[in-house]
Amino acid sequence: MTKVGTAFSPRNDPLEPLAVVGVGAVGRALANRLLRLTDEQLLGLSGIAGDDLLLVLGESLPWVDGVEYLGRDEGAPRLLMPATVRPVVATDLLERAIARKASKLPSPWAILFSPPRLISVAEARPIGRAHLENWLGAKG
Amino acid sequence: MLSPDAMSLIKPAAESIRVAVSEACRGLVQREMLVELVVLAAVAREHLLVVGPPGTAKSEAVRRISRRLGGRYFEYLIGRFTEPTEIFGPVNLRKLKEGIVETETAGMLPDAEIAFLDEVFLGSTAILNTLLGILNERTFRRGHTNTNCPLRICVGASNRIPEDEQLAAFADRFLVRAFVEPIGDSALEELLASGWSVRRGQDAALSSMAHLDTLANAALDMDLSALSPAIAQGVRLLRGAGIELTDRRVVRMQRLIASAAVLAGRTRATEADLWPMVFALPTEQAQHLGRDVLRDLLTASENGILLAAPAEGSLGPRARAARILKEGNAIMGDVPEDAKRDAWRLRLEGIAREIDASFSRDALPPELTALRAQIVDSLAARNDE
Repeated sequence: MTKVGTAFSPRNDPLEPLAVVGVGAVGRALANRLLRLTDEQLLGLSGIAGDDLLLVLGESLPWVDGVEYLGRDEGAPRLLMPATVRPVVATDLLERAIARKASKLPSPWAILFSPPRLISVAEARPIGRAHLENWLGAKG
Repeated sequence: MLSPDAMSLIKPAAESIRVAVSEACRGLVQREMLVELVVLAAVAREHLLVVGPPGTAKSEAVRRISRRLGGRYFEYLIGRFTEPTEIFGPVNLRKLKEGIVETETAGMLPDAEIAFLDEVFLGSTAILNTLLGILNERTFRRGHTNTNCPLRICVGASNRIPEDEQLAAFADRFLVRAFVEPIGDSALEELLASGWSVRRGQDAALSSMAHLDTLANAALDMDLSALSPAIAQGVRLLRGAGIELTDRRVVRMQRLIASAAVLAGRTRATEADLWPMVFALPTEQAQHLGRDVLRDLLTASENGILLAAPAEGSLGPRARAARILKEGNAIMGDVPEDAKRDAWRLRLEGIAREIDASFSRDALPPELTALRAQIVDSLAARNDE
């Protein structure tokens, strides 16, 4: 993961949520919530997991307290960003800056603003119960 | 500016409308905006065109609000072979023998206070010409009959906006436009449950035509002078984006704005009341584009009586927050028995998701902060059960 910082401000018109991310304990709560979904509900979801972060993509996104929803701004089609805030720089400039700064990180990306984090979602995979349980087990 | 005396009449009238809208929406799924637009158009003394495929509860929504408003209601499905007598009434045969062509209008459209005409554009030239007089002047003229109509609002429904020039001219008489789609996948369970439990014909009137008239008269007295620059700016932005607006439409959308202000209990219209401009745009594409073009102008949109329509029209945060708050409080107040707890829990999570996906923590309105905390506590408590 790469750290990319930018200031941001609230959006009056939030982005449509396309992904949800949980960090730390929230990520674990999100994984536990996913385990309570049916197999059919899990089929519609894909995700990517890091050391302390779980990101889920799909249409019927789950909710737990503390998650952040990400959407796609039309100015930055390769970038998922928090749905409720916008960066102070133009989104197309932000995407180009990311493409330059994180050239070794394959797109598409997801960016979190607080704390600043940049993740590649190119390797997102269908979510399986075994994967979730292994990830939770590794967290202790 | 409306006087305190006027406001003393307006407030109970607006409150009765609020209750009527709320009860009319009970059991309807994703049709709250349509019900509210019927009320807005009725207060503005304008007419509403609903465009959408068959079977999307257009007539049910209009029927429900009509019953709750207490108006004399007339509904008809128009076909290519519909005769004028089926809508306006039969000819009085006794008078006809005397050489007088008089129409018996009792119980028919000219006698109605609220009307719903399904497939309105399929009407013959004879029907549409007579209808034009009723829509424009609230006057029914046919043969020797020339009578005033008590019509507050006519709701027309169609599968599509007509492209024919003459029909388009007729369609322009419907100032307010609502576009409805079949219910989305996420609301199917709710649709099935509400459809199964619906009880027909038991809706008592909760408001009245007198209340509607009080609000309509107040809307005519509403001071819009301070808002004229903003309205003009909005029209310029829309025209700049290529959205065609007739002069009639531009002038008459002010009635909608004034009506929104009256319903909101304001003595003077403000930027919070500009959202109806979107619903005066004639096509679905124009409304999509218009919301985007007018986004900054409509940021302050909110209305205490109408919740779904300002939220849909403006995409503004205040209107959105009011709608979420109403839905969330309704779910929190309706805790089911154990067997249905899982479904209730999912609905609560849905509200929490909508809050978190719509507002950053720093920008969360205080009332939603409180609702969110209640939801988190409720879900945590049920986790422990």
